[in-house]
Amino acid sequence: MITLRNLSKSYTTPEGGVCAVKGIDLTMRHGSITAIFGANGSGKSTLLGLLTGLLQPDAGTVEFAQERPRMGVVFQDFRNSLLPWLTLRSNILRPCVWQNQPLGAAEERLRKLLTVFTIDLPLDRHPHQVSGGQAQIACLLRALVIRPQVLVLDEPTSALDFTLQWQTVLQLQRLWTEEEITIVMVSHDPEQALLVADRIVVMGANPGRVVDLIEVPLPRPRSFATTSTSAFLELRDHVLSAFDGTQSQKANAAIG
Amino acid sequence: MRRIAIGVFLILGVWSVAHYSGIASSQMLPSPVEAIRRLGILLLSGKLNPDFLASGKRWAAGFFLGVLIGAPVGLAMGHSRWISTALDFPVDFLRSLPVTALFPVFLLAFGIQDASKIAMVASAVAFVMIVTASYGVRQAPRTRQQMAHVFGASSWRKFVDVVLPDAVGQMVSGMRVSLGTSLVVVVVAEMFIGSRFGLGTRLYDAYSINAVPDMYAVLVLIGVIGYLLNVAFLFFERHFVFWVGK
Repeated sequence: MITLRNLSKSYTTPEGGVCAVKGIDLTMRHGSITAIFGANGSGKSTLLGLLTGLLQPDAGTVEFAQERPRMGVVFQDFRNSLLPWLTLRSNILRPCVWQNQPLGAAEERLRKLLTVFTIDLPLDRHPHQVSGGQAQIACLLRALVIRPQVLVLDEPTSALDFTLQWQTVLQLQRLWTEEEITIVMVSHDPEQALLVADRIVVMGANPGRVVDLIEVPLPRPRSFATTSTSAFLELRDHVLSAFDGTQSQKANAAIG
Repeated sequence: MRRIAIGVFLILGVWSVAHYSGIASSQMLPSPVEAIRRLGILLLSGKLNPDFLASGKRWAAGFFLGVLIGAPVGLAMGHSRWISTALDFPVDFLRSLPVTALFPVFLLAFGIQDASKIAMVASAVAFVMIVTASYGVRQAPRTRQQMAHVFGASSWRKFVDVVLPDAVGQMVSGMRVSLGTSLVVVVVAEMFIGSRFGLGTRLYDAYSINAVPDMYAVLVLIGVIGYLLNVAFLFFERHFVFWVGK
């Protein structure tokens, strides 16, 4: 379980201080999928930064049930997270080297992941020789190959085409069912978020805060067909109205 | 190849116009044909061989010494705010001083033999390398270092696997810039610090005895060497640091 307690983080800019997130209280159950949904500037990426330990909070704490879990991360700036001097294969396997995981087992795991995601990835090419979508998939595989206990995904399908986005999310759900990974993902697509998540955190801006927590009790396994059920559509409306509320507040603040 | 041909014709064209139109007196500027003919004679006679070898030895020793000193210092400055704070001023101060103007200091410190010339070249290269290596580290995308951090890389692995290769791009650019600078420094050092052999020595000797075609022949040779070094380095850059700028 991951517990965020009264978490706040501000940045200093030339125009003054900007409060990215303020007073965030959240609990993520072990083996659950939490989707974070919100407008630009609502502190979603900051929240992930605090969760991964890349950012230090000004106030509050990030607590893990036991010792710090093994984390796999897909960055929003996924292109720049790849090492351009290595092939995709070496990029994907590099964290295993850093974590002293046996390379043979890692190779085997990579083969399995490629089968799960049914992807034909040009593993012997360098990042600059592949498309944005292929680079993003490589980042996802890199995060998964280490057998993470916690998977942190910042818009993990932003560079994929429509079909591949859904396919990737559904396969991720399949893998999650087998391995009980705790997943925290930022998504700009409420339908995609609803399809995989156990819970959706809707965030508002100025300052970044949680405005709604929406449980998603849809039965699993979920598929594309799930998106046309009345329960799914009701939940989608709920998410969108919560999001719309944050936008109205933003507009009112701007007018005021 | 076409670009090279155009460049060569441009230089020879301007030179020929300056010579044949009388803009420059023929005693000051021989025709390109005459200079190249003299260069051919000097090369075939083997008279330039000791000069070529002496300059090459000084250049290579100075260049590699400069890289070996400058790159680690630059990497350390880029990596550590503390080292950067300590060294920023001395580096900026010293690199603002033209190394050729400092040759009396090098003479006093290293004597009139090769050591002073090598030290001058090394110093010119080292400062370029310090600046480019430290920029290479500072300007590398933060995301890669963050990635290495969250995936559990130790500080050493982060440095070796991420920071260093990221800085290589800037360092290689620094080396390429230094190639030209170091060639200039070695020639100038040979002209002003007594030596028996060296392309700079040959250039100055030709000037002293008014052997103007020989002087231009040596200048052409230095230019060709500089160009070839640059081409060789570009080849190295394309094949071994292929990711830079991609």
